[in-house]
Amino acid sequence: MEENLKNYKKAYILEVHRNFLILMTSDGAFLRYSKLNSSMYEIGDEIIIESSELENNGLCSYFNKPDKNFVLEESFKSLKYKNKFRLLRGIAVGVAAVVILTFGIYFGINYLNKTGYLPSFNLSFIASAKDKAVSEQSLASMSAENITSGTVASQSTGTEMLGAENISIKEDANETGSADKIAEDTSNGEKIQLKESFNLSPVNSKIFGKEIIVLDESGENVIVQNQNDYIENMQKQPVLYEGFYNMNTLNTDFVVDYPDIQIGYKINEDINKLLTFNFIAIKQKQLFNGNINAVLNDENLTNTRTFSMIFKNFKYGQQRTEIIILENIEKGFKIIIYGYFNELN
Amino acid sequence: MVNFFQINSLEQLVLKAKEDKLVNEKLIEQFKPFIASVIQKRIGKYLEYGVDDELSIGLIAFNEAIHNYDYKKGKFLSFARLVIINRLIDYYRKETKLKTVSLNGYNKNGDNEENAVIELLDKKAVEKFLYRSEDEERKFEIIEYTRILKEWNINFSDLIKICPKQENLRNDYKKIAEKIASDDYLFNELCKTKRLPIKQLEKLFPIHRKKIERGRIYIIALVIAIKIKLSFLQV
Repeated sequence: MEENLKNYKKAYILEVHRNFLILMTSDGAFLRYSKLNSSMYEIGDEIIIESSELENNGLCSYFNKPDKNFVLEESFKSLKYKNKFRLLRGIAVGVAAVVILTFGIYFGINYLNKTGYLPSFNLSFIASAKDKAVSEQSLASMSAENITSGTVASQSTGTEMLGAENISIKEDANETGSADKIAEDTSNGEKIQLKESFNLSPVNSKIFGKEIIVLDESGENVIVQNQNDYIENMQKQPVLYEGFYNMNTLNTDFVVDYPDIQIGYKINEDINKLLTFNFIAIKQKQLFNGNINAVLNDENLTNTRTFSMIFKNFKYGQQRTEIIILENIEKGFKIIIYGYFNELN
Repeated sequence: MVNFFQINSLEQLVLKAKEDKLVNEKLIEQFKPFIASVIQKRIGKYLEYGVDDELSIGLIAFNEAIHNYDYKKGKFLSFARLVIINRLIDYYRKETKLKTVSLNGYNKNGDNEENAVIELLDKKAVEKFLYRSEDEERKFEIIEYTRILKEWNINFSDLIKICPKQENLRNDYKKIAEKIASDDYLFNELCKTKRLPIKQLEKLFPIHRKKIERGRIYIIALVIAIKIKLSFLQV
């Protein structure tokens, strides 16, 4: 009997509506009760309800059309749902953070690279100190030698070079030679630098070898009437860099250790031994005007030939490639950079 | 703002209403739900103000009760109930006199429906004038409670939503309400700001502030119930 009584509670009518009553129990619970005929009761009447009605009263709130916040509150009342929600939220936040960070780093590095704030990354190996064979002092001690002959390597197809001849150079500095016709054999699509015979002064021949092949940006030989004057004018420009390199290692990319222009070189040997230079302007907002000379030398460090490459308004991002067919006696070279860097307007 | 210490008894209010028209109107307004529930209970159907004439009759009867009430003769609510029912009886009698008798409208007993209602009301009207005082008090308390909650912009449908279903949480909130009702400082803070003094409550009770905030309306309703000494509320 007593147990039965425990299952019931007294409640008092606070409001009477058409289809339901609003009750308040003695322990302070407010509930909506729709099981009775509401018209039979008046405010203040006492009624007895089952305790289970109190627990199930949550359903009544559905009919009250609670607002959104209330619904959310109801959904997350259960701890299980709360924890699941927290976990999912944490994972979502973590993933979002990682994605944002990744994109930020990627685009940030790209941007900094473009603007030049980051040091450029060389793709080739930097030339080691071993390749720098001789210092400037050894250059001064070099004695002039007569180079009586020099042949230009022929094409791999074996066709005769146009205008390829043995050249003799007189030692007499006063004598000036006349330039032979410049010819190109482009049967293979490759440009071959042909010799241009002329007479250099003894002093210049010591420095530059038997001949200077002047190349402009198109890779074509530039006909210079008076090479000695050319050299004189060139040497009026400041020397920006000078370095010695040997050609012992084949099929390997090397980079000249000059910071303002990326100069890569490679020696290949197929039928002919080729020296390939690749120049890339890496100084932003500046133009290079000048000459980059590759002075080839033999095993005794005697200069054989010089390839003088003219650069005009060589600006950031520009590239240039020059291929030199080496002679058998040529074992090393020196890079000399003459010129100026001008501000880009 | 409600001053809980100036809640008058119903009889005092009625005496004031006799002389003051404004108090009279307020009292009628306050007891409208009660008047409707009395008439509905007697008639046995739901009525609406502005639609059903019975409720208008009830309001007029209630006003009459205010003016004719003599406190020496018993409780006001019992008296008002009696007057309302009597007036309803009069209304139905007038209605049946005006209408022609319809052959189709007879019930099994041979009476028409309206006569049956009159009979029922007649029977009920013989009730004793003196009602059980306990019930009377409770009804008045509930009506007063409703009025005060209205002044705080709290309605019962909000309370049903906010009221915690778990008994433990309800008990926690009740403890907080009891503390506020008993502590003058906390109670004055509540009356002044119409907000719970959560900072102080956090220190006093091991309940998270968000939990307290969530049950704000319910706690205030309990405080009001405790303060007006709602007789059926166990504290």
